[in-house]
Amino acid sequence: MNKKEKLYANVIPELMKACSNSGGVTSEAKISIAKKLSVPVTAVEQTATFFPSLSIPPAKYQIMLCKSLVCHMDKSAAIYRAIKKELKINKACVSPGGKFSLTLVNCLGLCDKGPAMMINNRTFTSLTTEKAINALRAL
Amino acid sequence: MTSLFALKESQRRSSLKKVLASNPEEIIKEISASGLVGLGGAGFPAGRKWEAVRSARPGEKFVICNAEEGEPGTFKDRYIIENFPSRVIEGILIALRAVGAGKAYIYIRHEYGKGYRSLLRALREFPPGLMKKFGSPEIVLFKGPGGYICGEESALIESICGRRAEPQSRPPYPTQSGLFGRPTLVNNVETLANVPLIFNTGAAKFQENFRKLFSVSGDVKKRGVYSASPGITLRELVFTQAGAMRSARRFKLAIVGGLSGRAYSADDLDLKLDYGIFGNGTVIVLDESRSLKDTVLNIAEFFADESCGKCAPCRQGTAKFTAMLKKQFKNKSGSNNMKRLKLLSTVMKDTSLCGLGQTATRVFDDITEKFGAEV
Repeated sequence: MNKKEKLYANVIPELMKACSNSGGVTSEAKISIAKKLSVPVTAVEQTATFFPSLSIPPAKYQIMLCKSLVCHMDKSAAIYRAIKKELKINKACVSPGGKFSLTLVNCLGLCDKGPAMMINNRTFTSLTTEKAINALRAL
Repeated sequence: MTSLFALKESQRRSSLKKVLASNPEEIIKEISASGLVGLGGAGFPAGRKWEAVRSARPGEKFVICNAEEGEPGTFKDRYIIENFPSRVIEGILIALRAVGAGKAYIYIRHEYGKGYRSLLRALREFPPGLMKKFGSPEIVLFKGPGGYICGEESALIESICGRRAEPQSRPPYPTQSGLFGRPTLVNNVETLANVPLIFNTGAAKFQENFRKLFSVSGDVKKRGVYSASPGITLRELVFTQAGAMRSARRFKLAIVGGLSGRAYSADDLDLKLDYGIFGNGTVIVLDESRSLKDTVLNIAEFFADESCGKCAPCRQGTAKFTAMLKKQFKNKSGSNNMKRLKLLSTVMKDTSLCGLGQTATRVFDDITEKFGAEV
């Protein structure tokens, strides 16, 4: 591994860090990562835009609800509609005031305990509409 | 489920001692003799892969443990890393020694927070003396940003290099030119977790007693991870191990190997889930109340989302396929798109760069073949 490769190997770890700190990677964060690693901003940008998990709308609470087959069979779509209504999620997938963002994601690897969602790093399993709403109200 | 990977401290020490007393060729010979294959779905003989990396050009080499479990319905790797992280680490140490590498990456999806913490703890608590005997290799826990395609080994390698996770054409195979252009061994979590067991019991006994982990989900009573010998029938797995159907409704369909796998109807219940059929061991069970149209559409949308966009047949194909399915199911004009859907499916299978595009419509093909009238 040469010096340049070592720098590039830090692109994703840095992006993940920026993501967990501020929720969603901002343009400023991408520029500062590029400066820190002395790699072109375009290199950071093109990697960052590839991964949907790095473009989740910034919010204090980022809700990621699984929509893949097993959770879908467990009626995750109804839970999605209920959360959307409860939090008044708009077209940009964010609640008024920007406290919550709601994203449908693919498999979280929790198919034995579906339907599943994650709020930031916390996992919520075996959801029902009521359980999901109660979890949100308790935040 | 039985704790397949639980070893007593004495067993664990004796198996690692055996490894330390053997040279790389002997270790690989043992792996080959055990018949261990890649358990992430591809089923490539592990011994051959290890040998390819070992005999590749000398210099820096890498081992990667693939814990980017993105296939819907699959959660056996999560089970292993949460419960038996040290088995995985031992497997990695043995692999490092066998192929002559000094650095390993565990590529774990960021959603597996509990698994990440358990691996981190196991790494910290790993006896330093033992680590030293293996040459104190560097083992990096790499939190992947996730995405189905990252499970593909060349895409996974790209993302560690800080680039977009796009699969690469082969040859060269990662065993020749992988991470940072160096020979790289990529193995699934379950494959590596099985390695210490080989040295515990010996290759012949291991092969005899080998048990594959199955992730069973969907409309069964007890969803979960089950271990079974290859060759177990679908019926036994669903109706005995997983406790039969969840409700009084009858079995309709099982998707084996994840969304990129195959679909089997009630007529296939006696199918033996043997090598080459079990794939990654995922079984999603659907009962008779499930709409096949809905299922097929959900799968198509999944692949359209997860296509990395590198090659046109997959990028355009998965999107077009989803749009055509929607139109077909709405069927306002009364036209039948089925022929064109099947043609597109064939084109994607034949021309896509990697497994994603090649297998995206496999379940659709199986379902239309078995339940033609319903779709």
